[in-house]
Amino acid sequence: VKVTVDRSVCQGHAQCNAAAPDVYEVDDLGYVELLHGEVPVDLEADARLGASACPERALRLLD
Amino acid sequence: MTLAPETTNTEHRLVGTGHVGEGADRYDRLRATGSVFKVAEPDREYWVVLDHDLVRQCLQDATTFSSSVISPLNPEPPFAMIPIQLDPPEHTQWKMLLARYFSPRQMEALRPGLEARCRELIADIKARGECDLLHDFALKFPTAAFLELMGLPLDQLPTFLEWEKQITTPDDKGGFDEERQVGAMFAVVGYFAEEISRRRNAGTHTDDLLSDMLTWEIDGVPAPDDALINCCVLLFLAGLDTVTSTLAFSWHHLATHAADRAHVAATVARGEATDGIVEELLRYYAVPEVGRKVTRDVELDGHLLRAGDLVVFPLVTANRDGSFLADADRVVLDRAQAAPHLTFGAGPHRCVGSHLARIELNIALVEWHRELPDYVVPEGVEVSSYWGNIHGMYDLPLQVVDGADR
Repeated sequence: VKVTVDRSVCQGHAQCNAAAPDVYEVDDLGYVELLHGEVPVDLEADARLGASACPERALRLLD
Repeated sequence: MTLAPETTNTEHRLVGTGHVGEGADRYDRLRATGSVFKVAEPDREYWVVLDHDLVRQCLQDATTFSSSVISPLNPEPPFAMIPIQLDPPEHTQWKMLLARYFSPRQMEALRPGLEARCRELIADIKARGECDLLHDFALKFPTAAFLELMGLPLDQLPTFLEWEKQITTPDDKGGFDEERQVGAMFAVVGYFAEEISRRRNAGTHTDDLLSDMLTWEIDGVPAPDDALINCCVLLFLAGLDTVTSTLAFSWHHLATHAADRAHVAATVARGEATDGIVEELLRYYAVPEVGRKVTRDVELDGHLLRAGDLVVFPLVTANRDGSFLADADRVVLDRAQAAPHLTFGAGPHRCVGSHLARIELNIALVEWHRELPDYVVPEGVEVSSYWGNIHGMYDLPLQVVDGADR
């Protein structure tokens, strides 16, 4: 699975990182940085959890 | 496109007082009958948007929903608070400067100081066995944290608390006194004007946010003092009553719900994280009502909003919308995953202090329940709350239940 972030929508809530720190890192300002181009299978559940934590709906998972 | 004729609600009032749940419940009752309402009060007209998805979409569209007016209570603001009342792109530079000081990483650095301050307040309450949560804890903790972050002396605390009260709380009759509010705001402006000029003249740089702000540049030139003062006023207003009121509603909930109180105490006793509990309390008791001014005619769910109209987004009811979350109409402290609530807003004006609020609330919850796991509202006490731009409480008496009494 692959995660995409809409940079124009991410506002630095950092809730993806709070929910799934192994998939989503945040920069010095609190904006998301993706740790994996292709999410490893064992982190897929985490990737979904982090994406659904975003109040802006800025994260999408592509199967 | 044909739109149904608009029915105007003449009953609703932005400002009022009543029992603790009413500020939010009245919006939940409205939301049960529709998503968008036009309200006409004797002194003002505005729209209310209640649906979760609509609220998020509107807040994300800062071009159509401008922050030049953030409350129908102040349709012509005396000055623009920076950056909350700026629109992009001017807003963006300020937001980026501020975000560095309020990032999750930066907030962890504040933790030891916040914990120490919190413990002092709680030790005092424990010694007495009772407190007024508002005046002994919920007002003092975030205000002290603000003074420390800005590099202002702690002995200013009583002065700041008085200004905060005059700006955010309705008068004794539950009415809204714009003169009193604006007067206190100008007192805060005066304080920061003097402090900034004192620091400029002294020429020394201390390691705090206010001193750093004096070095900020916007569009490649030093930010003017007027703008910095307005930004200080915003930081003061945005970070204090919001956390204060969230603490008040959260502690009122826990004091009146024994099972939830026991769940928090047990979580803290096991040394487990309280983030999920904090998120659920933030969701259910979102205290701000966010306003915007419409810049162009726009249709929202079958209603035509005209350029120049004012809109209110009561975040609390958007967070309780069952179409976005199961069991949204009740507090569930052990949800499998935290709900992506809108308590900190959405779009470019997402609350820059959200991570500070979160760490303050987590520290308060842990430090309090480690020392004071059991407490109640004394029998016979009627707690009341007010609502307006912010929902809050005047006072919240609590009686500590010690182990021997349980």
